[in-house]
Amino acid sequence: MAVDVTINGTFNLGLVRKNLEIKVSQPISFEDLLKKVEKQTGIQVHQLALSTRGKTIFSLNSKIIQPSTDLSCEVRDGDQVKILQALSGG
Amino acid sequence: MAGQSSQDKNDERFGYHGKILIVDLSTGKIHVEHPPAAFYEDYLGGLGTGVKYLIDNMAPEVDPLGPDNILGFVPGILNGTNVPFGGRWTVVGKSPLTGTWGDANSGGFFGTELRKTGFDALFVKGISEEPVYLSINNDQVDIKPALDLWGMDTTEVEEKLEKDLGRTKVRVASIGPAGEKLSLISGIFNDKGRTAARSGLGAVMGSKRLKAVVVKGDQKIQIADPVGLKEFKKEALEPMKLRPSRLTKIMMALTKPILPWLIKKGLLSLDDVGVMVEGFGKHGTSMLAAASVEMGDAPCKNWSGGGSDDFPMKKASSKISDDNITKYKTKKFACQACPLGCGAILKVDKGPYPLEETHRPEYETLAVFGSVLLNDDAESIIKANDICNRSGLDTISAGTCIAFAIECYENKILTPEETDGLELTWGNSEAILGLLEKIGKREGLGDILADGVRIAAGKIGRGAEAFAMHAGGQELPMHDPRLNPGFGTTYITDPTPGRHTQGGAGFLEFGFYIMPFKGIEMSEVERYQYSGKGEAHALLSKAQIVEDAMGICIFAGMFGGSPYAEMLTAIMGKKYTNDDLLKIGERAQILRQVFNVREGFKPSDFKLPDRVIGRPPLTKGLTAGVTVDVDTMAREFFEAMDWSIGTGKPSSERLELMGLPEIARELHGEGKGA
Repeated sequence: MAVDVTINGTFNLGLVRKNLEIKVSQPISFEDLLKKVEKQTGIQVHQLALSTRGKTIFSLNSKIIQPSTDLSCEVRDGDQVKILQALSGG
Repeated sequence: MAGQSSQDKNDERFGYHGKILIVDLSTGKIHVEHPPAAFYEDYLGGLGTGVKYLIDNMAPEVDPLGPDNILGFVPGILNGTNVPFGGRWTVVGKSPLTGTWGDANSGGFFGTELRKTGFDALFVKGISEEPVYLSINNDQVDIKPALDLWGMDTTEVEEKLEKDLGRTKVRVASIGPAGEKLSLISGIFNDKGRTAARSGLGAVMGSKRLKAVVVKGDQKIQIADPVGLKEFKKEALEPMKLRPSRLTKIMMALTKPILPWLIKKGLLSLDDVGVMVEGFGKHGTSMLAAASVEMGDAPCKNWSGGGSDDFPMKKASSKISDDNITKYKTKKFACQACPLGCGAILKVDKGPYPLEETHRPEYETLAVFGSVLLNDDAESIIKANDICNRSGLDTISAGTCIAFAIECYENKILTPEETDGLELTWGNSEAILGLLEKIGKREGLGDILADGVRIAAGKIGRGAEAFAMHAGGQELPMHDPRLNPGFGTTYITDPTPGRHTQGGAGFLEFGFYIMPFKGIEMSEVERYQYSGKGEAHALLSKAQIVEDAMGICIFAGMFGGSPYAEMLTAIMGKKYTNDDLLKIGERAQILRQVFNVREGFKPSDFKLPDRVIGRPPLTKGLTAGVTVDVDTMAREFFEAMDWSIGTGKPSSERLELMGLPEIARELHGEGKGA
């Protein structure tokens, strides 16, 4: 059982673009999933979600997650999570 | 045409020369004007003095392609002072594409070199009988025949003029064949690929039969406090030092397997700004283009698709992003006074589109020739960028025109006969480039598309308007309001519609605070909250306009605020605060708006296509289901600016406050504004 996670942005060490699978044995909250991503990658996405100003987009199954209100939503096996950053104004 | 020397009064002045050059191509008359100090102190340069001059000297309702439209080439006031990021210059005029106020700005070296001639600006009116170019070598100004240049692309023109004039480092601003043929989506190009692309001002230059402006000078800007300026420049350059050192990079490489652990334990950290400096310096605006598509910032399939579904990162968008573009890089390109250098020169060795030397496409180009057309062939996009640069086309508009044509073809509004046999299907890079060449040459369907999607839709009819993505006639930039609604607000409220670089709440929603002025803090905003952003939108609009008056690059603010008010004070010898700068920005923004009021435009004349604001909403992608309310945001922006939402007129009180009583009387009548 796994959640498909895509990360693309400037995180901690530079430009990151990666896809990874996060193992989950049962449904977990989005916040807990971010903690698992953080543990596996070293990218402080959980902390980022708590402090984000919109610069980082979090999504679950093609729906944007608002970190201020949606961190408790449930993530299940087979779900797709994206953590994205982009430039504006280019 | 004999050259004429200018007469310089040579008074002591700081930060500006006090001379602007006026050329009438109908009469061949060249003369110099000496504006009063207030012209510079209240409007600075660039967009500021550009709009001031046109408001004072150009009648309303002139034919934008006629002799009475004035085309201004206006360096920012920081050009030539080596203030970091201070190398941008602006072109101004009435836009033939929108009929509104028109401007566009560019980087490179032209603006600074123009200032080094001793002139603070160049304004051109009239129409020459034959093609000409303008040569400005310090105070020696000549109108020269350009029959042999007519028909050349912008790179060829630069190379020929450099060779013919035998001068090193002349700087050239020119139009390509598209501008000559009055394509309303043509721009003005310098340094073989830096572009004042928007507003169709290349056609204005073409209408005057002015092929190029060549500048060379050695005049210096007098600085009031050079020692103080040096100190502030040092402060402005501090963020650049955050770029990871070579030693840090080596350590990172060596410790890669345990990097996450090192970071988690706090044993290794890298400042976010440092990462941005490093990444942006390496990849420029191509950095994170894939993420832009994936999240829905970059529009997809002519604004009808969802990026993550129709142009997914794993299969498509990553192919046109950062490392997959930068791998062609042979050298860096930095504009004048830029400590970062986000540009690059590329070489494509093999494949169907080899190129010996070309500029790297910017994000807007990657998106419009990539996700908008569902084209994941990076080399074809590099080629498209090169075609646009050489023929003199705005990439945003040209790519949007092709997307429009593809959708018309898909819906059988255009037939194979009308496309000259081009199979206009999504992602068909060969057909995309074929049609682009035709637009640049005004051949066949390209002739119809060369004036933008609004005019093309009118000519084609049969429901084509539904596929024309524009605001006020200008093709939309690559920032989707369904992700950041503030961009949509800017597209319809800025006096030049359909622009993304004119400031606004979209940047706040995005989370990148493009605010280069140290000491101005912006509050956070919720992405999809529509009410309550008017003041922030207005502030960012004013800030952007004064940035363009100063000639500051829009990306300066990405690395934190710099002491620009202090640097301007040191340059001009007159105290400027952030409030003063914002007031200058507002004053210039008001004049841009007044230009449109004079032309008879009302705010309700500018609307976004339903598709762009989610009517109906997308069914795919991260912004699926989103419908945005730009009307509320636009209304609150007008309220914050104290402009009438009905007529667009700034209030007489606001005009008085900004020191524009004569405009107050003009718009509101005697007695109301006096």
